[in-house]
Amino acid sequence: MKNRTLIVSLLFFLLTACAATPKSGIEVSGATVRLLSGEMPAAGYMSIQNNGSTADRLVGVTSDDAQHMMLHQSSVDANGVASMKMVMSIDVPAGQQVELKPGGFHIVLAGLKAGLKAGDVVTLHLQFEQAGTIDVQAQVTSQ
Amino acid sequence: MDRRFLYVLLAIVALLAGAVVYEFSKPVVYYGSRIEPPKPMPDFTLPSASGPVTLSNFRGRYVALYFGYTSCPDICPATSAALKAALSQLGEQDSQLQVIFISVDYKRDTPEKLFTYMQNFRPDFLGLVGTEAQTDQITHDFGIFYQLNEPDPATGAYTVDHTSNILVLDRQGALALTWAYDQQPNEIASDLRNLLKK
Repeated sequence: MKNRTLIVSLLFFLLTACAATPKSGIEVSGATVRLLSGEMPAAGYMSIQNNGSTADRLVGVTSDDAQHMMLHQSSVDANGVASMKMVMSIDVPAGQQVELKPGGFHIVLAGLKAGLKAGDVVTLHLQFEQAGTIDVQAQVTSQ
Repeated sequence: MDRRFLYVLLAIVALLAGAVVYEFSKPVVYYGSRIEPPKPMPDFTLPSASGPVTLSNFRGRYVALYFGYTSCPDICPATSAALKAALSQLGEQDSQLQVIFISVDYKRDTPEKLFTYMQNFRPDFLGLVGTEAQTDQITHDFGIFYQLNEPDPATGAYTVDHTSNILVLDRQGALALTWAYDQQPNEIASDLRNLLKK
């Protein structure tokens, strides 16, 4: 009986530890890293929800699994010309959700740790101006 | 009683005939932008990891041609993944379309790099890259804009602006359709099924 209580408490602890529930109201979900082979940079995508009443912004990201990480924004003009630029931050207005997705904001991971493969999980340390650092587990996908 | 039965039978036959006529006469919906009549395009030959590839060698099959660069982590892989997903919906008909990706990043990309890149998607996807002069000629011929941007002073890395549309060439090598970079796989597959009926 004691053991069962211990296991249940442990499971509860693990569950709460896994869920990215920060103090600030920033919630990150569906984080993925789309891996390409070789030394090609990968892209990171996710949804960032700001449940708080103050605006926040993503100002940086690091990971033990990538040497360089940047915030990027792709855009496609009316003629179908795609361009990509580095951005210093991504605004997450109060009460709103921002999607990091193909063709828009995304995270670029360069110099990835060798041996990463689809199905692995990488930890991304997202730095927010207000909320501070929030760690998220991103699923590595092949496409 | 017999007559009533005959009327019912006639009504069913008429309904079925109507359905058949409707099926064959309804306008075909394309999700991409059609080019009518298809525009004949110039030929080209570019290096691949396994030797030179000439566009006109694919006459008799459809070709999906698109441009980008391997250091593009966002839009180019999304386009390649969409084409792969569309082809997997086509079943055995997938051999009717050859996918060709041309890198406009002639400074950094090599045929070998393109080969590795395309293997991420499907083994039969081709990746080609030429010299600056070849890139200029082909992009001009196919109405593709590209520009290598200034390198970052700290890292030397640069991004490339490029037309992201996918060009679909018909069995005669004429431009028949274009898809946007974010065309959904089921839309691409639907367009391909309609094109392959022709």
